Amino acid sequence: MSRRLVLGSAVLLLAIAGGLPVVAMLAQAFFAGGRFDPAPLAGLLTDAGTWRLLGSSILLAAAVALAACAAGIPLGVLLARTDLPGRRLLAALFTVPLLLPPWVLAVAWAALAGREGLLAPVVGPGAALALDRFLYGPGGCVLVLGTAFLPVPLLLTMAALAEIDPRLEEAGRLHAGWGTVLVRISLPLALPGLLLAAVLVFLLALGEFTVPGFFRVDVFATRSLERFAAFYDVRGATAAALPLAAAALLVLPLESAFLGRRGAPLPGAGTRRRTVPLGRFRAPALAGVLFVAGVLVALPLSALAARAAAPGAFREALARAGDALPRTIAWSVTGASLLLLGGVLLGLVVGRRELPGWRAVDGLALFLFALPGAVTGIGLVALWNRPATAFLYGTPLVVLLGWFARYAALPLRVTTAHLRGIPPALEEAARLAGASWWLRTRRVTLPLLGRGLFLAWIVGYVFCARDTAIAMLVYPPGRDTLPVRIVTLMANGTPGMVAALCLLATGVVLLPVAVVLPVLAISGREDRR
Amino acid sequence: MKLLELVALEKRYGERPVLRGVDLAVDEGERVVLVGPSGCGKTTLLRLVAGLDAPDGGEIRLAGEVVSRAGAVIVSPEARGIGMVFQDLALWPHMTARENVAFPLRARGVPRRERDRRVAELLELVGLPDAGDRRPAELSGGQRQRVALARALAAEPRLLLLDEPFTSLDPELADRLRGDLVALQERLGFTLLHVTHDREEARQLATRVVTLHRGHLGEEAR
Repeated sequence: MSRRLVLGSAVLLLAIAGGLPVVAMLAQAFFAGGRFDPAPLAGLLTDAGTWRLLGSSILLAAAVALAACAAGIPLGVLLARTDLPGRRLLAALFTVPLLLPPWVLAVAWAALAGREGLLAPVVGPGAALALDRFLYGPGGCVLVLGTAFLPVPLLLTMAALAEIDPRLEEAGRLHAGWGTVLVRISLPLALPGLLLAAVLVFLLALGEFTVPGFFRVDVFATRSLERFAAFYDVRGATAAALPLAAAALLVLPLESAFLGRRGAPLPGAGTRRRTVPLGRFRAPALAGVLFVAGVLVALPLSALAARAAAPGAFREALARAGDALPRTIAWSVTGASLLLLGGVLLGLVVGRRELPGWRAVDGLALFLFALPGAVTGIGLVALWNRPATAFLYGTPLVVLLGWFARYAALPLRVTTAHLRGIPPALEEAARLAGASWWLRTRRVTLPLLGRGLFLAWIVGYVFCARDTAIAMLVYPPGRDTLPVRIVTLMANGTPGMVAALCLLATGVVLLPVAVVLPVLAISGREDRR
Repeated sequence: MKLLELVALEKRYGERPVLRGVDLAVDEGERVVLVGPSGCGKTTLLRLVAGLDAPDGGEIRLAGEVVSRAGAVIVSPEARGIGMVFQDLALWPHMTARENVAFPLRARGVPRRERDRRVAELLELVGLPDAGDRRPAELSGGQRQRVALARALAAEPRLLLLDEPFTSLDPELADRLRGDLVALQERLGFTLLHVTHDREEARQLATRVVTLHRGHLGEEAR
């Protein structure tokens, strides 16, 4: 099988799924009837309200990025490099919010600290009102989105620290204690990764509209949706999406700086990564981390579960979820499988530099991930919503295309990360033995990727199942997904039923993770033996 | 006077013994070269002396003080007064040559003016007076070796450890750097413990050669 044909197909799919909609969106915004007509964009830019809203949205996103990094980076250092007990379990616990749709956390916090939340009878009416006012405003958005995106700086800090050659830290240890080495050597070396995390959180927060919508905070990301949903003004919607698309470009130079730091020699014989002994600070550090995990993750989710335990709530939730529940699972399984297939091929293109222009492929995938889902959705509408392409637009295929565009970067990254652990010499030996590209990929590379393939599928499934923005914009009539249905029901459903629906959505997202990850952990232990 | 003493030193990686009861004493001002094939435990031995790993058995004494014993690093690496040149040099890529060399002084709280003066002296000493503002990626292989040596010498260590730092250089350059190293050692008087697989290099550098084979120390020659 031709290498260029197979890999080129994956690149073409990414270009069609994500690149073309962006181009179509630009065309819609700037051209009408074949003539240059930037009137919608000009109208948007000359409106003082636009700049006010954009300014307050940027401030909110910056506050979310600051909050997520202020908690995520120190936690990343503690969980990656110290002898804190239960590090793996704690890292998994802190990662849970990223796996859930952010509005689940918003509903959970409302169940905990809202006017009629679990805390209200405990703290008294005055404090309950103050908590409620804090929650239903920018403070609540920062709290919920900061928690939802905290795993981004946490995981990227852990990844960036893992990339550092241990000998660079050991060379410092000959002259200074661990504190100085972490501050002067490890963190500066990890800086591009930390900056990337901050920018990613900023962009994810800038594009988020469900949580601000829940807490009644007006943000720029809803402007595009309003134009589309309320007025069906596709040109106005695309124009309103452009500032967010432009902001997403920010991520590219930072990513290349992050990757530019790689290529350091791998640890040699006898050079294993040291854990930093916390000594007498071990117990207080553990208590602090457990407290943060309890407040940010366990407490709100417990409040959600308590609210969902209202009589009849689950029965009503199941009835309301109806066919959206199995449909979401079926589409997410299909989406994850497509992402696995395409993402691994794209990972080979980037990780093994198999095609010219691999950097552009990597950049496009990352740009599409940083692009708000609503913008991708608007692009898909601009490109495919026409009679000639009704065969695609009115079907689940358009949702799958949108998911592939937005989330291809994830299996791509999982693949390239695992490829770094496979010495190229193993594939070169197969080549010298006369194996074709397809044979050596099938018999050498893919089997060696092993656990990476499972992980890529799981990551793809989770992000498809939690997706709200893309599905909301392009789902075929009468065939909405569970997240879309819940967001629509949120305003009118009883609190117990909405909480139960949120738990259902949580179950749909986390079930395969709960099944597959322990299997992966066991196989990993056996591999190391 | 004995500066370094290794007494019945043992180290295992998992079930595999790497060092099996190594005894070695190094006098102040000596240049001892440990020669052995790849995987014989040379790097492991240096890491134990530096305090980067703890031995599984025996003990290590520096100037008569026990600094490590079975399962424990008693004196931390930064408190041992040891300089080390790593096999791949381990220069910090985000710092300039000057900042790399200044780090040990900064870590010890040397005031800025004094630090600048000593860094300039050290760069002069290793023949790189004008390379201070360059980062490791902008230096040639030989220049990087010299920066690593200057950094290792910055805090005036009583013992300098060298882990095959000349392996990746062309023979001519390696030869010249070895000559420079001997001259420096004679001028500054520090004690040197060097490991290599190259017998010719050992002969050129050492006042005493010790062989290491399968975790045991072998014959010595002067």
